[in-house]
Amino acid sequence: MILFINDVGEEDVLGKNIRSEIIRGLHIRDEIREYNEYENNVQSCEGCFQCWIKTPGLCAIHDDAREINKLTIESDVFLILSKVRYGCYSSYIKRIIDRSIPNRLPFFRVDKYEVHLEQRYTRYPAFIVIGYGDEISDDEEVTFKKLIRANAINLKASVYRGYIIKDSDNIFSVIEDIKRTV
Amino acid sequence: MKKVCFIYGSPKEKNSSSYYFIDSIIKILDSNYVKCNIVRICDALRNEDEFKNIISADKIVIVSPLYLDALPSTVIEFFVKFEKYIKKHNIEKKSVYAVVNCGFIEGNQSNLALDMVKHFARKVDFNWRFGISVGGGEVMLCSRKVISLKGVIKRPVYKALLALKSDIENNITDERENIMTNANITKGLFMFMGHRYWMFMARKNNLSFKDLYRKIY
Repeated sequence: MILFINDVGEEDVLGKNIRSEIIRGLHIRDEIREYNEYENNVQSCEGCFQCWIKTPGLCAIHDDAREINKLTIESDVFLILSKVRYGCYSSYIKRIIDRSIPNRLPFFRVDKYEVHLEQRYTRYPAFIVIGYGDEISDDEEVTFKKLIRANAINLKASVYRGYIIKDSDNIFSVIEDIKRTV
Repeated sequence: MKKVCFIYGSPKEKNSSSYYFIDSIIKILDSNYVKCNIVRICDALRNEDEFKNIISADKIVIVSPLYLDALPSTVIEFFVKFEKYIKKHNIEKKSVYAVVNCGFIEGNQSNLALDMVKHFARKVDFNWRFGISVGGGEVMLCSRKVISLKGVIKRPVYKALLALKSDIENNITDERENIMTNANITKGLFMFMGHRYWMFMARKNNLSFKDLYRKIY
């Protein structure tokens, strides 16, 4: 199963094209569960830590992030399609990432000499991110790809890939690469 | 008189590491030369009038926690709205700084978040100065009543804040590298203190240590 999160709106021509190719290219082999900014409500994290010290594993806020967190653990691939904002995900996608900490423990582990969070579960999906936009600077692209790698380490992803699409010409090659990965 | 606006990026009211750093920086700035105000990002997102309080300043300091290797979603959302506001109203150049604190002991884990603030500053043609990345933000906050910011343990962080003070109060134009810093404690001690803290909080909520490991899926 592929958990597919995206921020594509009606006016995002490039985003819509990428989304269409993802659905066309991947749905034959795999079930796709999709969550979109304009159809699924996810509030921003309040930093309350209830998901660690009051209701371990469960976020205090009742919205679609709870279901997304559950599906993350049950899926084989966690696929993100996000506008690139200042080298980061869009705010909607970042809300989902921020709200994923219930799937982690508050305790620390050392990975490659750095402190990170321990994982609550034994298995996590492949982490695949496509960033898109037509005004992404080279520096933003570097930051975005480093972010994907850093998140993959923290998410304990089995496999990770990061792509940037700035125009419709290279959509097909990216989707083909994703198909080979998953 | 220089005017500095601190943009407070934590969703919490005041009991946060970010607010502790804002408070600490304001205390070391010379109030004879620098006037400070604080704008909460949550307020600015609800009410665009708050942007006027930001643009009245000459210098902007974004102070934020690190959420999963990056700025919190609310800071990204704020940047998108503020960028539109700046371009619509043709706002003159400001100097931009950032102080990002993370829950892990290594200050360099906030590097990417500092880069994101830099990318925002460049997108709106503001003058990016530099950022400070502080490891072990919660340790700094929790020990604020017993360990002085100027003491041996926290001195590396204090020196970083002094560098910020110097840049804010003077007209320095030389390019500066970001500063990565953390309190003078070992990784092992940091992890031990962190684990003890979470166990203490669990007991406060009538949970056992084993409960914290619960799997719900």
